Amino acid sequence: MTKPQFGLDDDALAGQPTVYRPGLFADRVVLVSGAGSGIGKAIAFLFARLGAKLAICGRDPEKLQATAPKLRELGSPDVFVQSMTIRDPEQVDALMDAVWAHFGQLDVLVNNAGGQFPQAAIDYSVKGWNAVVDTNLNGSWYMMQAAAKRWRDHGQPGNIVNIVATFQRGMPGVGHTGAARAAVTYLSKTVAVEWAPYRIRVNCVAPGAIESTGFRVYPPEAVKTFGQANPMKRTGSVHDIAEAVVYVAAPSGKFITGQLLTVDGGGVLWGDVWPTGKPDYFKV
Amino acid sequence: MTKPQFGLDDDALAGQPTVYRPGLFADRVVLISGAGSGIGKAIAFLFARLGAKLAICGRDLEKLQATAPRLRELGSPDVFVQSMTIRDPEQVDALMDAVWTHFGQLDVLVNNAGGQFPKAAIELSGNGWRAVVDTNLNGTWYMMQAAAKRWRDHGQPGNIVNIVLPIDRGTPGAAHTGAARAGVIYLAKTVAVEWAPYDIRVNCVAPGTIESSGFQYYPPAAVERFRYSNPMKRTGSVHDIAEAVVYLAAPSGKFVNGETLIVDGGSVLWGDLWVTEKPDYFKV
Repeated sequence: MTKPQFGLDDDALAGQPTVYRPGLFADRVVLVSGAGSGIGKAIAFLFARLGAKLAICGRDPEKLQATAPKLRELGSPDVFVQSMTIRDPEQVDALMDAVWAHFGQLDVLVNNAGGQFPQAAIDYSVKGWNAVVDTNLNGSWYMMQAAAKRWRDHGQPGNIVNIVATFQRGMPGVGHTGAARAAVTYLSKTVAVEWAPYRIRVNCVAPGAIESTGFRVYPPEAVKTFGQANPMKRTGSVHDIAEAVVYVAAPSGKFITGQLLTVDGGGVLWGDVWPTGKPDYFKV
Repeated sequence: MTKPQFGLDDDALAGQPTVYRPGLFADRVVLISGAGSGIGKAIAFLFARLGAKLAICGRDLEKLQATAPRLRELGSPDVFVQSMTIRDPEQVDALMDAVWTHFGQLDVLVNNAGGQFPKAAIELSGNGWRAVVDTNLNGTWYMMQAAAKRWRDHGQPGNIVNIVLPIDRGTPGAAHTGAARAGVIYLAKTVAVEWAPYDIRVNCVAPGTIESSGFQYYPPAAVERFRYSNPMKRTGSVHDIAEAVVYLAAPSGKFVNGETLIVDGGSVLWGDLWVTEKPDYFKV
């Protein structure tokens, strides 16, 4: 395996120190979407190291098939793989049924799948807009509702962690995803209340500038500025997001619901992110 | 030791399962204010179990001296005790000097000391108002600045976690503390930026209705209602707050800065919390 252009390779990722105790997720089943690369893979790696049984899904079967044996090596006793798209509610239902058929339970759903492309909002095509909203908002919703229905029907408690983005100051250059991620965050707050009677917790983690394979979609001159766009003046690691997801999903988070945990080095407080490259107007 | 009226006794607290690995805070020094009871004691217990050296302070020397041997039993190799009030900047300076003299370092400051009394805002006396603002806002600030100055002067990284309250919807019946805690939250955001060049992270944890010895200060009818003031319809545990503080203070939180982590069972989204008797007007 060649070293990736951005982020950590598999060995580096597997060797990241964790604060959590071994066996923390023994006998638990965790479903991670978009687990074949980037942040999703980092989340799957950490849950595997903590002993979770894993279901991983994503659009690219090759990436998932390459990831599954690594997860078993890292300590996951059972890894279930299904390639699918979260944009199709029928495929989402089929995935959920397959997970319950295989494991007989689901404990944690991590909605990590998503993505965007940098573009000035004024130039969005309808198709581009719809694609980003469909994946990030609609797709996450199909997964949330499909999981919640089964938890309700089985009388089992549930736990959802949605990976969003730091939309608090708007997201110039990625307005579509800013809208979709804000929507997921407030959807989570709503169902955190509606689904509390079913003992389902729903929370979000908002990664700031996290160095991952996802950096590839941005222009190199923009990527160079990402590490300067928070007061810590560095990028975060995909493993930082994995540690945040585990904190919220584990019993450590058992009194937390409807929360947004921002992991961005303080980027919402200071810094100027332009995924498209900074327009001259804003060079002050 | 008799069982406390509210919260966990020492043995129950020491036996709470933790998600963190043993030795996580080996060779680290953690200073906790208000560590003699309630949430502060729970935080100190958990850091002790994770191997931290501890400095504990508070106004009541007896409570601190009763706590210190328990912390050693739980695994803290060195426990330093100083009784003082955070309301006096000179005592804060003396405390910080004593901690640095004793340990030669400080890694984490947990500003837990604080408190309030329930009262309709219109009835607050000048003295009552000033006492709550002085302790919760000024006292916390003296501690933050005194710690930061020493980290800057020693060229050492630092880490501050302030215990506040969920102030998002106001705090009817406790206006003084709502104002003071909001002050601390936004002060933390400001210095998260200003002190980033010194490698100091600053975050807050906002506990909702956490059952602790602090409940004794509220009318019994109000306490009975506390657990109905969030969608999970239960109170949280002091240990939930300890787990949150460790998440932020440990390397798991190394890219989290200026953030407020709300641990409240979702009460900022649903629920009606009155720490005084609920006025008839609001009985709808």
